[in-house]
Amino acid sequence: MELLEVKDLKVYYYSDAGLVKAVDDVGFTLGKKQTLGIVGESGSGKSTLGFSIMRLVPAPGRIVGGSIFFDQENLLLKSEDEMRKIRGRRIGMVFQDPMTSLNPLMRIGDHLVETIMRHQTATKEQAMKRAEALLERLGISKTRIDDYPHQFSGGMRQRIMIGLALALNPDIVIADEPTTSLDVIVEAQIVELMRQLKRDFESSMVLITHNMGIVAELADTVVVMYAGKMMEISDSVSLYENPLHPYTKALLRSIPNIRLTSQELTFIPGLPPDLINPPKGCRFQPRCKYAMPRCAEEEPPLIKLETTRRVACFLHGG
Amino acid sequence: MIIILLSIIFIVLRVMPGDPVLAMLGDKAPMQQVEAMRHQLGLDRPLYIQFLDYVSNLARGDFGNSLIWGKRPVIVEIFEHFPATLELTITSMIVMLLVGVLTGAQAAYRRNSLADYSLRTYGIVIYALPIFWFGMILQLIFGVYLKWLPIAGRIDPFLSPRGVTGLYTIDSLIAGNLLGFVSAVQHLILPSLTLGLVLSGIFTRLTRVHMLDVLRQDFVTAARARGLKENTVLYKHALKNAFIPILTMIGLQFALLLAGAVLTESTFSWPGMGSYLVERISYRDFPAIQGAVVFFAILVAAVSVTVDMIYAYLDPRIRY
Amino acid sequence: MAGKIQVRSLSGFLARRLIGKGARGIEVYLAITGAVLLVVVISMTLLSPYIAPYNPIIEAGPALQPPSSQFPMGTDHLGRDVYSRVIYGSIVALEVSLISSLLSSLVGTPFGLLSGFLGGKTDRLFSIIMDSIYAFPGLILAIAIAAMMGPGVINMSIAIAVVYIPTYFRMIRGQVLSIKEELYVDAARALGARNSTILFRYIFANVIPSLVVVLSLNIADAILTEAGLSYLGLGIPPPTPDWGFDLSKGKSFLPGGYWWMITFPGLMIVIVVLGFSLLGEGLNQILNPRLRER
Repeated sequence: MELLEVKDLKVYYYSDAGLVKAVDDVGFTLGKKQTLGIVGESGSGKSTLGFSIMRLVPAPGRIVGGSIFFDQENLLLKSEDEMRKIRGRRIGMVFQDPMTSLNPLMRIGDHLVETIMRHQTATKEQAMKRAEALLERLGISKTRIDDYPHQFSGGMRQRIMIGLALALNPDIVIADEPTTSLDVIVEAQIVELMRQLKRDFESSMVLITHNMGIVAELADTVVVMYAGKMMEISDSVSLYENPLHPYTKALLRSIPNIRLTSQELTFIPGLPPDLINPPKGCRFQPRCKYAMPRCAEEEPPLIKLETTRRVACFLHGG
Repeated sequence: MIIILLSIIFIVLRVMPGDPVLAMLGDKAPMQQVEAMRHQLGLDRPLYIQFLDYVSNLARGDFGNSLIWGKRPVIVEIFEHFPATLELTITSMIVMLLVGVLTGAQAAYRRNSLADYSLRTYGIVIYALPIFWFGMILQLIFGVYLKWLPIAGRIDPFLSPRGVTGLYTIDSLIAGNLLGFVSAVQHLILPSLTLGLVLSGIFTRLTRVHMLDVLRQDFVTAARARGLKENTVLYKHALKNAFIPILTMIGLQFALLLAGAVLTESTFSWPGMGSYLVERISYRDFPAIQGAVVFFAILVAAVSVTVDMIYAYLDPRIRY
Repeated sequence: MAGKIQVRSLSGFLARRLIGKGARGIEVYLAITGAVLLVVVISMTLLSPYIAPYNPIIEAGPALQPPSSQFPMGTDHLGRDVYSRVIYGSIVALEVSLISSLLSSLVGTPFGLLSGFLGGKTDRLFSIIMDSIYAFPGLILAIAIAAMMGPGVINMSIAIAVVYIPTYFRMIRGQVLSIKEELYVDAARALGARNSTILFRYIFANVIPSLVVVLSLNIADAILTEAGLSYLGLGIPPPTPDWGFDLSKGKSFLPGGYWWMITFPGLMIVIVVLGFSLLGEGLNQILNPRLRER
């Protein structure tokens, strides 16, 4: 069995407005030292998916079905106490906005020391030493270990966040939109940092983002999500060279590319779907320019086309 | 702001309808006596001169002399009574914060549960209780029926410590007088519970609101994502952050604490500033009344400034 | 074409809040509980001569009797029926708190309007005066004023009124300021149409709900303050029944275990204060729903 195996995962939000089916029947696997990219628009359910791996889905959301096998154990069957031992230690998370994800009243050294001492027996001095080493690794001077989060720039804070996620050498790092709140130049630095760290720490990564660019740079496999459902899953090379699902094609075409001066910048017409009352049949159908009558009636199943590729679209069979 | 307050006090005590002299001597006092007193107190001079005298005297710490008994300087009498109020206020504040903040934090954490609604109801109901009545009920239950705790005074008269700070608890400890310390603490329990519990209601609701705010923030989820224990997340991360806005409220609530202290002192025969004020009112001791009220104003202003300073110190975003 | 400024009518506003947004259950219960308590208390007050079994200021039986079928709340140290005194006591409590709240609002509101309107130095001056009063312990201020003015319903009301004037001032001023900002944006669209009347109606519609809430809470506070003043001996002279006064008299008998003299008047205070508090809080939640707690 692979390191992480998710099967038929369903995560619903029981909101006052209705039942929001944020993640509906999602499944994928993640192997050791592999990077999985999960892409989609806002509201596609990708963040919820990320949180559910750690079982941190906020109320009123709940995981209602499926299984998440991590290292051959179903995480959904574990107690909260057991989960707490896994979080931070074997699965780490990098959050989107580093300003709000760090405790403004705590020094960054304390953030690291706290996490280290929580999961491992170490004295404060030992933990401090490791924290300092970690900071150096991240490109932050260790003299700044006593500084507070607001004294750092956005890019540096994100490095700290990454350091916090990697501090205990976890098997998997979940990165939820790690570069979205950063400017492009800093983004490139962070991506490079993540690439190096991935190699050095030998951890697997789940990269959640709507940025097709960084997915191309970092991911081995890509899952394309739309309205809580998987549209396509493929190895990244094939995905970029030959996207199969109309939504994937539209996503790739909507990336601005200054070299393609002749091509128009296209966008996907229509609005994201209502997750309380999703459209009948294929969820992307209302906005799909290849839609057939069948698409509005039946939901296309996820079919395996090649060993590393699966698509949910009637254009490709089913 | 203190100037404004002092001016207002001046206005209230001298300008408003109600002649202080007549109030002191009674309606039927002979004209001569009234005039003599008026002259003695300087109340027959033009208002603006009175005001200037008033301010300059206060600046020098001259609060005038009492009109009764030994005619001692009011400021001395105030300082004799102040430590009692201080002791009561501090212990009440501790009770108020402990109960209020902890109940508020729990209510926020268990949002919309039965515990949440019960704690919020507690907050509203307890604040609606008249402080003096609540004190008397406590006296009835714990003092009269159960006979566990004393219901009046600060300490067993035989165990009274020699004063250094005027705070009997500290003074007894300094003097190594353990029996005195115990007695002082015993006498403190009911009054501070009375004042502290009633006022804790405000803090329950306040803490709850701020905690809800903080619990929603990313760094709380991030802390959980690092596998930290729930208690650590709740108290070390969330509550600490929520505490800062709560702190500013303490400054504002201090006025309520003082007002409540007056009532508590009366109920428990606690010889503090409140009792002093009320007593002197019944004796029509005008300089003492004025002095006491002015002192309260200074206290409030001082606490307000102190809280601002503490706030600036605690929030690293301001410090650095 | 002149743009139309939406002026919400008060009833429409209320209807929208209550029905449209769907008032969450608990707030409505709070308000209703409060209202019910108040109806009971107010009717008790108005009907006092009819429901009180005895004359509250005359000796009705032996002194210091515990509650019995003849005297459901016992008798006080002068042999008066506590039950009757409790019922009649509401008259003073409500009188003073209502008059003082009215006074506070009548003085605080115009000053708030003026201050918010004019801005500048006048605003700063008024604000700092009001803030100072607001920061000062209310009861102590009331004590000082009451002490100088002497006893009596009117004097007490004035004393208490002064304490709460800043509350109204601040609220009204705040509303005026925020409306002023809104209107500057709309003014461009309005093409200068009848600014003052629009401002007035705007303020009116927005202020009334908050005013009701503040009034309710103010009255609750005022009752407590009045009781406090009487307790300290600065209130209505005897023998008029007054809860605070009865509490102070009952205190002397406490060590002897004569619990009924203080328990019942105190309970009454709690009930009335709760009534106004719950009503005010409930209305507040309904009319100013907090941002949806996710």
